[in-house]
Amino acid sequence: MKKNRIYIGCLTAVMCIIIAYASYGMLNKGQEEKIYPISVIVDNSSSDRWFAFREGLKQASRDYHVQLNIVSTGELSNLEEEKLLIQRESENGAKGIIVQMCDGEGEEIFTQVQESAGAADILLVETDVQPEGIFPAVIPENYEMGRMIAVSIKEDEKELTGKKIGILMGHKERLSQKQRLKGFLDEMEDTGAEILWQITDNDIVQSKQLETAEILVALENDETERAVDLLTESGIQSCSLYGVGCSEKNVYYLDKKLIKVLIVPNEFHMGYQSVAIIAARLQDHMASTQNSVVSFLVVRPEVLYEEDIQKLLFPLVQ
Amino acid sequence: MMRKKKLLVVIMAGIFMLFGCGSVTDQPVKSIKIGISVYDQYDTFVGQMMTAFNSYATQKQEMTGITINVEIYNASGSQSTQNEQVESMIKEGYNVICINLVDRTDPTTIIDAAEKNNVPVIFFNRELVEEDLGRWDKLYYVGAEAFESGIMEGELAAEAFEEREELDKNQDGIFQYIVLEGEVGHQDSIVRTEYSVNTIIQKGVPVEKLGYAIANWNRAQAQTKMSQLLEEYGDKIELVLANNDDMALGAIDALKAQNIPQKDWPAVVGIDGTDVGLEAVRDGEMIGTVYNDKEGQAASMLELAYTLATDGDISSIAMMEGNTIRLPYIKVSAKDAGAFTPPGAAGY
Amino acid sequence: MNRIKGYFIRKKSEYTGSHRSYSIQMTISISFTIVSVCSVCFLSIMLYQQFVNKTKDITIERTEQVLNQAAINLEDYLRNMRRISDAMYYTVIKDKDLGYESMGEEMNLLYEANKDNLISIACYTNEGMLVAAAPVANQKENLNVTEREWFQEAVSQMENFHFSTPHVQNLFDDPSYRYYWVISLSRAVELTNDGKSTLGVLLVDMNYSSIEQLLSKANKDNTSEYFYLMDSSGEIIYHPKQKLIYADLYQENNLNAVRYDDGTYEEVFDGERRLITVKTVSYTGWKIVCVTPITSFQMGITDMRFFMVMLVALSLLTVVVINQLVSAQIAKPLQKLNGSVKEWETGNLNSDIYVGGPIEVEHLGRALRATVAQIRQMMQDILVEQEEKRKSELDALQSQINPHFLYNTLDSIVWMIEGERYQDAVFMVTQLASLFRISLSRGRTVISVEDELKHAGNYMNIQMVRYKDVFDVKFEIDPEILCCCTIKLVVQPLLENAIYYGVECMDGEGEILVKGYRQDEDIYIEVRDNGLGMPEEEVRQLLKENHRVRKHGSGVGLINVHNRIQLCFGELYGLEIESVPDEGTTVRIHLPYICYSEKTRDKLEAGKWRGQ
Repeated sequence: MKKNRIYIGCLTAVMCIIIAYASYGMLNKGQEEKIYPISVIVDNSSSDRWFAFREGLKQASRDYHVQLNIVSTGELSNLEEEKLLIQRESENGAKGIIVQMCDGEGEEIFTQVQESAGAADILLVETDVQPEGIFPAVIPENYEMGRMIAVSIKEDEKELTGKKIGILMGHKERLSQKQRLKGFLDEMEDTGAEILWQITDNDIVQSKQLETAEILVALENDETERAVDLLTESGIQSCSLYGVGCSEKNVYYLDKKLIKVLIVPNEFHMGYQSVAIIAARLQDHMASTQNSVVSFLVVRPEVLYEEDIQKLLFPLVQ
Repeated sequence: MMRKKKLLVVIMAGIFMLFGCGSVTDQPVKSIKIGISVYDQYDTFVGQMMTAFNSYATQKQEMTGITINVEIYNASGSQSTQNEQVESMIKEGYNVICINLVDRTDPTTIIDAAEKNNVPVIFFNRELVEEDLGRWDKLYYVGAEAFESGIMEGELAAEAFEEREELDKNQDGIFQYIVLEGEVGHQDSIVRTEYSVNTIIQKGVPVEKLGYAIANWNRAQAQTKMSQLLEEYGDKIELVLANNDDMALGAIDALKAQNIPQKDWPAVVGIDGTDVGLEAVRDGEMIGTVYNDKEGQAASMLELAYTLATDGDISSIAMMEGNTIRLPYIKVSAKDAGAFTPPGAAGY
Repeated sequence: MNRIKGYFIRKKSEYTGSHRSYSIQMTISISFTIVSVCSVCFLSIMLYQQFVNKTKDITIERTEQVLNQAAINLEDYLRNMRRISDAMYYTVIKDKDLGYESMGEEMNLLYEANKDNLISIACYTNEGMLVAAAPVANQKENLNVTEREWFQEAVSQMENFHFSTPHVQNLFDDPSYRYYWVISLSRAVELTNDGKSTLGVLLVDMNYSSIEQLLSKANKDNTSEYFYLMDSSGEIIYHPKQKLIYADLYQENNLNAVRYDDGTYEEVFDGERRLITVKTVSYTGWKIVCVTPITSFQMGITDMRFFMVMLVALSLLTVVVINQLVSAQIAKPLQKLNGSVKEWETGNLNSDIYVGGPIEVEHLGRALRATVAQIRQMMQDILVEQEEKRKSELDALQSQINPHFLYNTLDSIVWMIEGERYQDAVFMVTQLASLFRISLSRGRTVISVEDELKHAGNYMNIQMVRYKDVFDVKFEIDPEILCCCTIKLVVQPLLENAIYYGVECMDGEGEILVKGYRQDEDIYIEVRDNGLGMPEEEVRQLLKENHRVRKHGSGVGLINVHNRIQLCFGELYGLEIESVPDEGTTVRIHLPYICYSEKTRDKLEAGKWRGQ
């Protein structure tokens, strides 16, 4: 009799547990997915150059159900400013922060940035920091991009000896810029070309200075735009421009053949991938933190409208 | 005894069920979200206004320490897209929504959605009719007085006609003009055209309308239309009244494309004072433009949005009249273009 | 008693030995539960399956509806585009002689009327020269449209419209850095130039975002179901994840799906089972495809699944509780009955058997109660019998050592010795010794008739000394019966009675006759006196229980003797009394004819004679 009662008791308990589980399941179905707020901090956030990147971010935020928060920024030129932003976003509840570091070298950067990030996960985009790999990063092949500019120049120019080259760089502390420059210089070694000058985004450029160079190399989207603007404004036709960029303006200039070769990193991929990785990390903290490398295209005006290239280059929805 | 236990278990299960669903998280207080939908992000004026708005927002958040997130959506010329964007903005919890209407006569869906969810809406640049604006007390408008720009454009043209005789190419004392109009039915294009022509006449300059074309505020279209008009009227055109700078520049593009020397160009007047427009005025390609204070509008809109989002006192905002903020236009003629600096950024 | 107990114990061990014991309640509730669990599970599985199928049907139906709607919208849109092309061709181009007319104005008109859906309208000559275009006409430099696919297709198949896949328009220069994704609708047209007819191509570039908007509306809801559009070769025109597909971050099974005809199919792609619904758009051969991952609509019925589980669990719970109650209702009376039987088993003979519950159980209870009562009665009887037997014997024995009798006898002996009648004294002592020996008979109850009569003789001899000349005794015994069995001390009480009640007060005239004879299988021993006798009434009372008239003597009543005989030999035997007042009384001992031997003696003593 006693055994019987125990059986019945067990059965009842099991039933109750099942009922509780089922009702819990029914009630919680809608809230299964947790929506993580993710903040994005990039230099000059409203710039056109981020258009494809933002598209990627938005698409991924839909696919991975994260709440995207692109922080409005102007020029981000120093680490302190950036750390403040990171800290503020973290305090405002961001679980993940996708950040383009404007500067970063030395061991202490990890602890500093992590400190300001608090509990939030950090993911780097566009540029890594030195030493590489302390944060997960989604970055274009910066070194290769620089190298490919040089390769394109070599293709175009039969004789490079004595050619005068001017280089326009973005933020000079940024690792991506250094890597691109290094890639370019490494490839240009032994060609006999002369690097006439290097200027960064803070320097004021006169069109006269541009004229001194025969070949202009711009390592950053905004610099490429600036170079074209300066060239068209002053009507200089003598120098050919090789640049990195992805804004529509740059594509237009390429189409107009004002740019000879445009290196276009797949920024849509970069945006998508960064959210995908950080969402995976937020859902599972053990997820691998491998760096993700984003490819790029070498585009010349002749191939601009080729199917594969136009699919990547032009934003679909306007 | 056993039955009691059973009852207890059932009650426990019930309680468990009841509490299973209640979990509410608090929103972070220290940030506001502003959603903007523009009718077309390729519109130069709106684009530059957005750039200004963004930079003011960045400055504002540095000053106040409150995060301001600005998200700009592009309705790409479709009112239904814009309506959907507003809905998704409301769903995502934006504090304030700024709308640059695609179809200024059809804000009903947006107003209804906003009112239902109690999200204040600031309309800008494209003014909706007063009846619509009065439908709910949390609707605002930031812009300028459309007729003022027409008057100023007329004044600019009239002044130029009087000062520079060479503009009257056929020396008949009559200003032969063409008009490049914006969108069909758009209030700004109607008002600007109307008032500019009337002002010229009021100023005592006789005019003759040669033709007009609709170029949808668009530079490339204006260029095409201008080429066609040039083909038709050629040298007879003495004045090009464009409803905005983009179209004025399109006309200039057409003139350039036909390799007409600049001294033989008709007088081109625009409105808006976009960067490229001002540049063209400085270069003497345009005889003038009417500066539409985009920085001022952006600043006022930000101030208003910020105040609304932080439950501040909106009556303290400069130039607030009822539910509207209207900023004055400024005439920029070729003479003073060099010295002209946009006034809008006063507060920053 | 022990026998009964033994029976039950045996029964119980039989019952528990072969299989495990379950209570009735347990059995009932378990079988009930199993049956109801099975039926509830079966029912809910059926219901669930039904629901899944229904959901699937509804999903497919709804999908097809949405698909049809999208196809209709798309067809409308495309027809509208063809109408524009038609209007342009038949009312404008055919009308105009390009030698002296321009078609720009009409083209502008058409564009303005449809500018939401159009990017541009353009007309080219056979050589690729631009005839007219709206709204923008400033071509890019070094443009050669004859190489373009839309141009070539239009020229190669002149009677039809041609729809291209989405591409970026590369015809006109837009200084606002703007690029449009378009779908080109091209056709061959006949141009008239100074009266001569030449071939041309009319191009209508549709705004891709119109199509995108059209289809993304169908993709609005948050399910994982989605629609995409592809052309007849499987090239994707619209996909909600188009950018991802372009960036190689997502794959679609479009090349497989393009082979399907209209209808719904199930396929496995990327390890995911999904339903594919295909609908072909007329004229273009484009296909709208709806993809519904199986998991997605199972997601929708997860709710249902939980609900089912809950329903099953709840009904099981109810069933368990009800079972418990019902089985308790049935089993409780049985349990009570069992309980009282158990109590009885343990030895409490006075326990009350439960009667109640359903009629069957009640009847059982009643029957059991009656049986128990009977058993109790029988046991009571046996007890009384044994008691009686012992008591009678004791009484009989006691009468031998009746102090009064002993005192009188001893007194007589003393008196004889004093009177120097030693001979008589010796006789008396011998008689007394014999009397005691037989009455004790080593504790036996059954002795031979010979011994019994000897004992009677001894007794009478002793009494004769006391009551000298008061009465006379005669023994007339058939020697045949001497070897028979009798229980001891049956004759002596009769003699005692005969003396006290019969002849004591008859001066010298009293006569006592002891007569023994056999009749068939019975033997009789009669004690007859010629004393006072008694009325019939009294005779009848004599053999009744509880009627012991003890005036004097050992007081062992006739009833005692009677009972003892009956206990030993059965109801057929015993005493018979005949009495006539003032004439005398005859008391007859009726016994069966049983030869005395050790065997028969033991048998009789063990009480196994009765009933034989």
